[in-house]
Amino acid sequence: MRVLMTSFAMDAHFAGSVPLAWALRAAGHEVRVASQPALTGTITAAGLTAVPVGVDHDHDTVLREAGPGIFALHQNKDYLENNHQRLGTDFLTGHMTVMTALFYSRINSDPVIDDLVEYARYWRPDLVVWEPFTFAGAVAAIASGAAHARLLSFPDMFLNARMLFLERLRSRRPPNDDDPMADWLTPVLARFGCEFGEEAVTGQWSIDQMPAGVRLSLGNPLVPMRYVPYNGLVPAVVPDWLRSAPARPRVCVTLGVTAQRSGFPHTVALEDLFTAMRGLDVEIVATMSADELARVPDVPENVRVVESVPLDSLLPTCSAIVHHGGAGTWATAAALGVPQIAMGWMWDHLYRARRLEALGAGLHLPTDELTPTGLRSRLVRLLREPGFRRNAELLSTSIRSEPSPAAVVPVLERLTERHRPTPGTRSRLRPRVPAL
Amino acid sequence: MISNKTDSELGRELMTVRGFQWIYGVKDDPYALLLRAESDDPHELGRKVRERGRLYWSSAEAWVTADHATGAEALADGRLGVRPPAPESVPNDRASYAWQIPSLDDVFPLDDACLKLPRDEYTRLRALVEPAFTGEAAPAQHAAAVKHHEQRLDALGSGESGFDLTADLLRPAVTATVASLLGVPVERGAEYGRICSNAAVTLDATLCPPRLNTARSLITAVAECRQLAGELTTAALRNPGEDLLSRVSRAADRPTGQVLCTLFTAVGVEVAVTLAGNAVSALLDRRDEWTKLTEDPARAADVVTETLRHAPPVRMQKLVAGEETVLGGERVKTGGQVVVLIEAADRDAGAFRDADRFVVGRKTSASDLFGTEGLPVSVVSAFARTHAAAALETLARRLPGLHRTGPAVRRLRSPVSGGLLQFPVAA
Repeated sequence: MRVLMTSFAMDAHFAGSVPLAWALRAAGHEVRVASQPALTGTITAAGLTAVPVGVDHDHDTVLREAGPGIFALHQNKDYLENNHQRLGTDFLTGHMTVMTALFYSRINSDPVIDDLVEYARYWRPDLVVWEPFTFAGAVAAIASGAAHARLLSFPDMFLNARMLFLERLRSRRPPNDDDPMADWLTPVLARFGCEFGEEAVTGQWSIDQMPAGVRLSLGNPLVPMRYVPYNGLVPAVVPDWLRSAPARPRVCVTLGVTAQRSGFPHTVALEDLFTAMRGLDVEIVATMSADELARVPDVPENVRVVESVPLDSLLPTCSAIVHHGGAGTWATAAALGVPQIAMGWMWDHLYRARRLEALGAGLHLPTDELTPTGLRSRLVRLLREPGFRRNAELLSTSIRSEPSPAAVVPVLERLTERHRPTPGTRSRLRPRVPAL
Repeated sequence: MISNKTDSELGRELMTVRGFQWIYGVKDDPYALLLRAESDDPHELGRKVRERGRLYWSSAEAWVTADHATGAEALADGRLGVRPPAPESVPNDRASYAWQIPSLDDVFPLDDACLKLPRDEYTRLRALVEPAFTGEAAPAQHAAAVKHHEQRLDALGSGESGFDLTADLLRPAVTATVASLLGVPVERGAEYGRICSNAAVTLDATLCPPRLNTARSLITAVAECRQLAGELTTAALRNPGEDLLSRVSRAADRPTGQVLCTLFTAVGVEVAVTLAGNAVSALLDRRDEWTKLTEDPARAADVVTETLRHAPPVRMQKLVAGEETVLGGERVKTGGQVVVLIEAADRDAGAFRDADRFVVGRKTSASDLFGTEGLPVSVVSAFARTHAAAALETLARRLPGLHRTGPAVRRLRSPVSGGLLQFPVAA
């Protein structure tokens, strides 16, 4: 098969697609990864083939202007905790309006979509696998006649909210049946002679890397897949100090890469993190950029600061991890069975952290409640109570019991065959090349 | 300019403006919430605006007032109008921003809808139009409006099985009345009705971005209206009749006739439909008032007057400072936006006793802010009054048992007119 994978240019959102891309390659399929030019280096660093499309998005700029409002709108307990049935229609309308206007339509700009469709019509992929906010992938698939699927690296709260929104919309008659996603994608698809359908939002199916207990079952076709960590967003090199067992229990502290690399607001006071851990008989390994480090006046003696380290090399040596709540860090720790203190205040961070706590595999520390005492007491519990390690290992076992990316490949082959508009014909098609 | 944009370009820009309106409202900015026009109670929001002082600066980039005295002062101030000042006279203090948040006026300028003329133009036009509705000709205009309602009611039969007050009665009756005022040939009636209905969102689109399809229909309607205005005015001058357009075109000139035609089509119809709808709505919610009207249809004019204050068909008016102005103790820069919340200001307890109550025949020294001279709506205000009174009177006479059969539904994204989409009733 030819598989076109696509993610908008944000490292953390791309990272979740790398193991599947490798699995498809290793099974002999052709794989290309399309994104804005800014992601090209990240794609090729993962050993994959990049197709730069369109122009770079302006998400950071928009976030500077609109970020506080977007986050304030979503500081709604019912939304963050995934109690979506309780959400009012005004909230859902605002969520759809704001996300479509200031996020989806900006990271999927017309030049990106145009280029991606043009490439897909030339290269003729059998399957397009798209990151769940990269709707350009769905448009390209529909416009080129390919099968298409979303690849989830986080709980599907966005689609959950959308499905509820559509349910509420049914009681409204035109022109009050205001669906921002349809309003946006209808003229976009029309440019390529295609019609909007909900599949442009949901994909024909979803590949979901969340483990049972965290995954949301929304009733749409789902292919569960094991989360396999990919840590190549930072140099994946095992340092000297990581080549022997630690003398004391080791604790990893990281705030992820997104806050360092994009305009995302950084709401954690690093100083509080360090104060909380000062004097504990543990070895702290903190990943921190030089800029971040410069803001910390006094690093305690039990802290080893590193610019970066591959988490999948570090975490197996750790007794616990304290992190910002991001999807990749959360899932890597979960997959490796390490008890976590997950902070978090936005998007799916809160829900994921709450699920972790409910599964007994870690504790949630709401970012706005971060105090040295609050963090220290949680960390001490995590290190002293064996239940956390046991449950973290159970979570890890449950993740490992999901089909690996390699095992998912044949499933994708079958689904692609089934969803192709004209079964059995496309695999013979090749990209057009001039004949002599 | 708009027509050069592709659907995805225009759609994306309208969506961006709407997205920002949503997030401006997140911090409980009452004006931003009024622009959002979702389920918040507009009267409560109006009170919140008043609590913020005579004039407050909204994050939606406008000075806003719900104070009656300040609102009246702003609407009457010659330095504030609807015509934007020349770009070179506007201080550009936003140049340092990395990304300029688009303004609705840039995205969707609606320049052909005659909503950005100098104040004098509206004053002159109003003076030409108003005698037809207030002077000796008034009874004839009233009779014509009554006739159009009668005709629609005849077509509806007894009304016992129910009908939609807006779609089946008010909108067609108003459209027919305006068509005859403008001398629209009978065979073009359906075409004209379509233009009016697609142009219904014009006033709302000055403050709230419409959805793409609505915006496209509006652009087409405004272009068709402009074309029609040219044709009708030419016909009126060549072969004058007794209609309003013929009289105004003869008394003034062809361009004036075209402006009249455009304003009545793009603004007049919707204002008249909404005013009549709001008046009926007010009475159906107060059964004793409806009964009084059925017993004495002459009360209709007073009902309309109180409706204009209590539930006006134009809830807010955007103004722009042609030059630097001091208003409500604040300095409004050249090019700055001032929004008068007409509906809220007319519920200012400082101006009207029991301001939230609907009192027919209210004795008051203050006047409502609807239709202030020098602004577009003033040109159609006398017509809207006449028409609404005719609608009420006819309904009260013909269908005294009129009652609601379901909740009225208003258009979303309609912060200015609160346009009525559905108004199910039965006789």
